[in-house]
Amino acid sequence: MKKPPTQLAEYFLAGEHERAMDLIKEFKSNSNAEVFQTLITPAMQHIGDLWEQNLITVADEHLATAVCDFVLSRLYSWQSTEKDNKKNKVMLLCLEGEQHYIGLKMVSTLFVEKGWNVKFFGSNLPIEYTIKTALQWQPDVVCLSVTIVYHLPKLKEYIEKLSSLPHRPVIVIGGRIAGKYDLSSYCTEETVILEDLSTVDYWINKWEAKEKLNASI
Amino acid sequence: MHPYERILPVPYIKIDREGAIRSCSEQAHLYFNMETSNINNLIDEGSLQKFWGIGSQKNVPIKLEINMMTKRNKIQLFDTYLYWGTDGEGQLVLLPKDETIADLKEKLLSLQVRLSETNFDLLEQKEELENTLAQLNKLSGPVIKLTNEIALVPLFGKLTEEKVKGFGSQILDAVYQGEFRTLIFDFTAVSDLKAEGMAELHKLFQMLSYMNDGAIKIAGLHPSHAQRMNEFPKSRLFEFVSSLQLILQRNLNGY
Repeated sequence: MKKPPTQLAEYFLAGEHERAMDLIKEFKSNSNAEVFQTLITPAMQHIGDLWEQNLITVADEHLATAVCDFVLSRLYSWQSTEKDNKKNKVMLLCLEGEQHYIGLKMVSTLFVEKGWNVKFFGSNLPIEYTIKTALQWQPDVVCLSVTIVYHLPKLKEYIEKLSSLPHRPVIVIGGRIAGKYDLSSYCTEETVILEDLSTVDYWINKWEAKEKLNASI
Repeated sequence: MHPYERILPVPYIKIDREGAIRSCSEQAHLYFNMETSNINNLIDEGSLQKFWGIGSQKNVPIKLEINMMTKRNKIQLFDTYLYWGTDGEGQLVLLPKDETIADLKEKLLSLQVRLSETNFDLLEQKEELENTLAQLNKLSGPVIKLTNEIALVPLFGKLTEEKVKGFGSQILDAVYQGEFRTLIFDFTAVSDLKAEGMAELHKLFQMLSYMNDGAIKIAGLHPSHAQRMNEFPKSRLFEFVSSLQLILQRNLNGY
């Protein structure tokens, strides 16, 4: 019998969204973070491996990504803009030119699940628009996703500009290369680098525990 | 370099086992910065493992999709035909993926962006609508001061829980600030009474009674409202009057 991530990858590649959803639903007793970390992410990584092994083409990868996106959209919430100013606010985006947004979408879901106000901008958000929105909306946290090494110089620019905003949002960096390279030279001391979805989940819980502690003092 | 290598009508690069570039066709110069001495500098880092892994294992021609860094410093996908000869030289022919596919990809991407923008626009419009609805709810129960002691609250539209919550707080504020002895709730313009709306209204009457010992009167009930009222537990919090005219006459006689 195939491992669930391998099976899921096959459903994504074959465009079988119903079967993919059924498979994910079998893991409903697990937390969303666990499903993302141990099922969906490995499935997408497996698709990357298949390309590396010359078994599929980039076109196949695009189809699989579209199916994965569809499935995520059907099963999970990834936006939440309720008018409750007491809630924490987070905006999530991929740097300009960066098209890999699936991981970030799962991160969005984790924030929604914890009751945050979430604005998910997906792929390719230019820096001007990022700064403009951050100025207007004043998020507590801004999550940036980067998967391509050549985008690293841009990352530095995003971090510098976001760090100089008057309300000083916490900047979180994630994406494939966050777990692969040492990004500290692109960041400020306050920048948080999160390597995978479990770490994101842990970090949000920690943030909330800290808030509760501050509130009780 | 063999003369034929230079004039090959496709990007062609010859390398050794270390990746050092031995020669290339003129077409290769069109796409790549051939001043570099090693092919690794032209291959995207995400494709290096594929190139040197699967691409180097066989002594038969192999076709691979490889992302290359082009002269314009852009990552571009190439169908790469690779053959390692017994002399340890790798012959590489790199054909850019059909540009129509790139066009399609671009279109797909723009559709995707459009979809996510639409999704976001929709969310923003939803927010706006919610604000408007909240505003409408507030406006559906205005407090009109008739005299220092009497206020009229005409209610409008469908009486839902949200709507009563929406206008409830402003009625409480008005009563807190004024000295009304009589509050008249006029149901003439109420289209539909929801059970949850009535329950919420009952709570509002209760709160009003705590704040002020004046009378709450309900006027302008339709037959359908009366039926709904009947389902409601009898309450001493308010009393019914058959017409607004009557109650105004009674209360304003002294003025």
